[in-house]
Parts: sequence; structure tokens; C-alpha cells
Amino acid sequence: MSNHAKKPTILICDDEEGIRESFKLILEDNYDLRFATNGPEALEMLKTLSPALMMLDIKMPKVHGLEVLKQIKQLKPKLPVIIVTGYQSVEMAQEALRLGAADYIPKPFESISLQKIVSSLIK
Amino acid sequence: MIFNVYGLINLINAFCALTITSIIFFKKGRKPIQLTYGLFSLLLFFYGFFYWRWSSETDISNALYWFKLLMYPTCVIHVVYFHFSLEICNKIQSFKRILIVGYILCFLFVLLNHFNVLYDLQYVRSRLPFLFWPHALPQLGFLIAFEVLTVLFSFYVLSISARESFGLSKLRYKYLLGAGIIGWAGAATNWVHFYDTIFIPPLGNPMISVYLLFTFYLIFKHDLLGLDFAIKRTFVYTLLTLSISLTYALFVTLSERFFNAYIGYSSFIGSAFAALTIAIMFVPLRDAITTIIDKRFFGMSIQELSQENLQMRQRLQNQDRMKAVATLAAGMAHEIKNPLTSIKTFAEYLPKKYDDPEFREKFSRIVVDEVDRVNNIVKQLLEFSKPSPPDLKPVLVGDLLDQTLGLLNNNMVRYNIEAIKELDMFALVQADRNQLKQAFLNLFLNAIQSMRDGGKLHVSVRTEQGGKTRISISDTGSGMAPDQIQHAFDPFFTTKEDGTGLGLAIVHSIITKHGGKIEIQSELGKGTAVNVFFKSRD
Repeated sequence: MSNHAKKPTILICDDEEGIRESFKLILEDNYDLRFATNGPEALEMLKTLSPALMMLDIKMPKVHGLEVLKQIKQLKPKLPVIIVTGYQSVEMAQEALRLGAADYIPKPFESISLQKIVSSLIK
Repeated sequence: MIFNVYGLINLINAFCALTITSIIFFKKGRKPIQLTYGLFSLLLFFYGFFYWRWSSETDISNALYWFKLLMYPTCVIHVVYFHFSLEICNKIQSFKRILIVGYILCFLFVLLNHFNVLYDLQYVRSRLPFLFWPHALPQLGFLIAFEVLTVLFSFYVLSISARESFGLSKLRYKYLLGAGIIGWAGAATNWVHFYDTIFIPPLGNPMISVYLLFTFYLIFKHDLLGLDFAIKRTFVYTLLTLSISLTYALFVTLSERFFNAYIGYSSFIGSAFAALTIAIMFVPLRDAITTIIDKRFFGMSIQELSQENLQMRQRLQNQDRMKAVATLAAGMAHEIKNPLTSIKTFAEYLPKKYDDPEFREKFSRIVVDEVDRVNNIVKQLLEFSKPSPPDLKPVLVGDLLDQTLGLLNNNMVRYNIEAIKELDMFALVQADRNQLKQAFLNLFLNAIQSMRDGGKLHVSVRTEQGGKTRISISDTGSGMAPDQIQHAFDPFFTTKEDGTGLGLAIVHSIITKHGGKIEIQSELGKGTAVNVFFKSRD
């Protein structure tokens, strides 16, 4: 129980179950994972939750991922946010980094590289 | 009557505007955009005509009579221009209330003009070459402010549309905005003379002519009002006849003066001489003017212009297509890479977690779903990009709509949707029954999905004049914002949480392959109406 409590928390925001389950497979052994299915839900969770890291999809219903990123940065400026998306455009990556994203991971991702990026940011 | 160059310029403007108006109003099957532009041109005609009459009068009461008439179109024309700008930018729904307020204010100013309380009838002075120009009353300031605001707002709407669009549309908006700025800046120079300021001649009046020429160019070269080639040709030749008539009138007047003053012959001989000269010169004159209009104004003959017009459209359509391909690729990336990510991760963890029953349950559910999803996207994409050629047969379209709607009966009951049908059961179109059924099914599904809290689905089939069948499917659902309507047919564009964005793209592809036309009208929060037009089968 005490071990579980020590795990760093990661908030994952993605509208697709398959992606959320993939994150679970890759990260749940070492991290405490929380899930949101859209931007407003994630922002609501962030009011009471202080995760060590956040993974954010770009194309989501209701609010666009980059807009959510802007609001997260206002709410929690120090929270590292990784953008995970199927769009591999340089402009999008630049925009995400300009808005304060810590990293940008294209889909489909390698589980090993995802783990490395996450652990480097949480350290 | 006296000769006033500004009056003459306005008379020419009036004739040009009247030409545009007559062509638009004589056209069958006018669209709102053409009607509002026709109304605008009609007001411009009255403005130019009354301006000419007023500025040429030597009697004060006659002059003020024409001046009052001139002020009527002045009170209204800017709001009609705003209306036209909204129509052409497809933003009528977003600014409907502002437009109504605009028309109400117009009406108030028309009343003020009617009761002579816009300008001071006791303080009429000459502002040469104008003999009778009344001084403003304070109320006129409000009209000027109202006009400036309306016109600036129209420019704002046009500039937004220019920024949002690309290709051919962008070009149209840019030209229209440029022409509008020139024309309205020109017209505004007239306001100065209502006040006792330094005299600046109303040199802006020729700028209205520039505006008309610009619009004429837009209508012809960039298909501003969607007029077909035959109408445009009539357009050119009406102007040609007008030029010849004006030359004729000028020639008759000059020759009459010459014969009376220097030779002493009667007016009749002068006119007869002029008529004879014109009759002899008519063909070379007509040819000369045709050449001038074709070569100098358009830079080439009408046939060459038509060819260039076609080529330019193709070039711009190619640009539009490239943009569509980019959108398609971006959409594809998201739609396919997400399932690929899940499949890849689950496959990678399969050896490690094979003994975990929870993993196996998720694997069989998620991986199979994701593979189906990719398969479905590929199938739809193929349908969109290469629909099989339609197998055309006579189809009773009312019956087909009724049957297709019947398939969705469960959904209609589930979401508490009432269907209202007005179906002409004899309307016959030449179509591929299965493809048409798919198109209707997609449209019905969109309508139902937009009414999750219940509503009304109105389906109608009507045979219209001109051998057209109009199919209308409208809902009282969530509707779309104007910028969403613009992209509604783009592949992978969706407003639904679970949509692929291919449904309407497929509908569009099917309808156009059938030689039909599809249009969408929608307002956020009020609903959407999709109209499909086919040529009726006799």
C-alpha cells in the first residue's frame, strides 16, 4: 500500500479508450495513472490533483488540445505536459513547445521511448 | 438645364447600374445574392439619375425636388450594400439582427427625409458648379455616421471572409473589398458640401464609376454573381449599345448646334444628317467599340477570355484540391494512427501478459475494434475518392426517401424525433438507387445525431420550375456555425464526437457525380437544412 502511494501520479487526457489502455499497459507498473476523456474534465481534475506529469492528446472533442494546454499552463505553470498526437507537423510541434509543452510524442509510440521520456521528466 | 460634369458622370453611372440591374432582374431563378446586388444597383441607378437631374437644374424648386428624391436612395443604399456583403460572405445568419436594425434605421431616415428634416431648406447656397446645395441640419450627422459605420462593418465582414477563404473565393473577396473602398470613399466626398467648410470638388463621383467598372470586371472574369456566359455576353453588348447611343446623342446635339449657329438650317436637317452619318458609320463604329471593349478592357476577345477564365478556374481548383489533400492527410493521420498505437502496444505486451485474463479480454475487444475501425475508414475513403460510376435508372425519389427514413424508425423513436413528410411521390429522377439511398441515409443520420434531445425532422420533395427536383432535409438540431458550414463537405471535418468526417464528403461526392447540386443552410442552436437539387426526369 505504502509503495503504491509513493508512485508519481500521471494525468492522461485522451478521448480514445484504446490509447488510454495502451498508456496503462506501458506505465501502470511504475506510476499512478489518472484518466480524463476531454480537456474540460482534465482541467476540472487538476483543481484537486497535483500530478507529476500530464499526457495530452491534440484532437479531442469539445476543446482542442492546444487550447487545453494554454489553460493548464495558466492553472499549473510548472506541470510538465507531454503532447501525444497523430499529427506529425513541425508547425504543430513548434506551437505546442511555444505554449510550454515539455515534449512532443508522435503516435504510434514505442513503449520503451515513452517510458524513457516520462522517467526523465519526472526525475 | 446647365451642364455639370459631376452630374454627367452620375448619369453614366446610372446607366451602367441600370444595365446591371436589368440583367440580374431579367435572369430566371435568381439567388438572394443576385437579388440583393440587383437591388443595390437599382438604388445606384436612382442615385445617379436624381443626382444628374438635381445638379443640372437652374430652378431652385425643381432642384430641391430632385434633391429630395436623391436623398431617398442615399438613406438606404449603404444598408443594402451591407446586406449584399453578408450574402456574398454567407454570414447572413450571424448578423441577421444587426441587418434588421439597419433596415429599421434606414426607414427612420427615409421618414426624416420625407418630412424635410435632414437638411435646411431655408439655407440653400451654391457650391459651384452646383447651384443649389442645402446646408445640413444636425440630424444629417447621424445619417452620415450611420452610413460610415455600416460601410466599415461591411468591409470588416468582407475582410474576415477574405482571410478565412482561399483560392478563387479569396480573390473575389479581395477584389470586392478593394472596389468597395474606392466606391464608398468616392461617394463620401459628397457629404462635405452639406457643411460650410472649404470647397473640395466632389471628385469622388468618378470613383463610383471605377467601382462599377470593377464590379463589372468581377462579374465577368471572376463569376461574382454566378451569371452564365450568355448573360455576360448580353451584358457586354448592352454596354456597347449604350456607348453607341451616347455617341449618337452627343453627335446629334453637336451637329444641331453647328447647323443652327453657323449655317442656319433647321434642327430637323441637323438631326437627319447626324442619323445618316451614324447609319453609315454604325458597323465600323460597332466593330471599333467591340475591339476596344474586348482588347483594351478584357485584354482579349470574348472567346479567348472565356478560355482563360476556364483555365484560371482549373488552376485555382487544383490549388483548392491540394489543400483538400492536405486536410485529408491530416485527418487520415489521426484516424489511423490512433488505432495503430493501440494495436501496436497490445501486440507488444501480448507475450508478457498473455496469462492475464483481464488483458486477454481487453486485447480481443480493443484490438478487434481498432482493426474494424481502420478497415471502415479505408472503405469510406475509397468510396469517397473513387465512387463506382452511378448505374442510372429512373428513381421515384419520394418513395426512396420514405423507405430510407423507415430504416431509422428505431432511432427516431429512441430520440423522440417527429418526422414531417411532404413528399411528391411522382417526382422522378435519373439516379443510382443504392448510392442515393446511402446519401440520404448519411443525411438522415446527421440530422438525427444533431437532435439528441428530440426535435422535428422535415423531409420534402418538390418538383420546381425549370425541370428541377428539390429534396430538402431539415432538422431542429444543434446546427453549425458559419465557419463550420464552409468546411462541412471537407473530408475528415466533423463536429461530432464520434464522427469520422467522411459522411457529408461522401454525400457531396455522390450528388455531384449524379450531376446534382447540394447546399447547406444552418444556424447554431436552431438547426440545419440540406437542399439537394436534381434535374427531373420527364
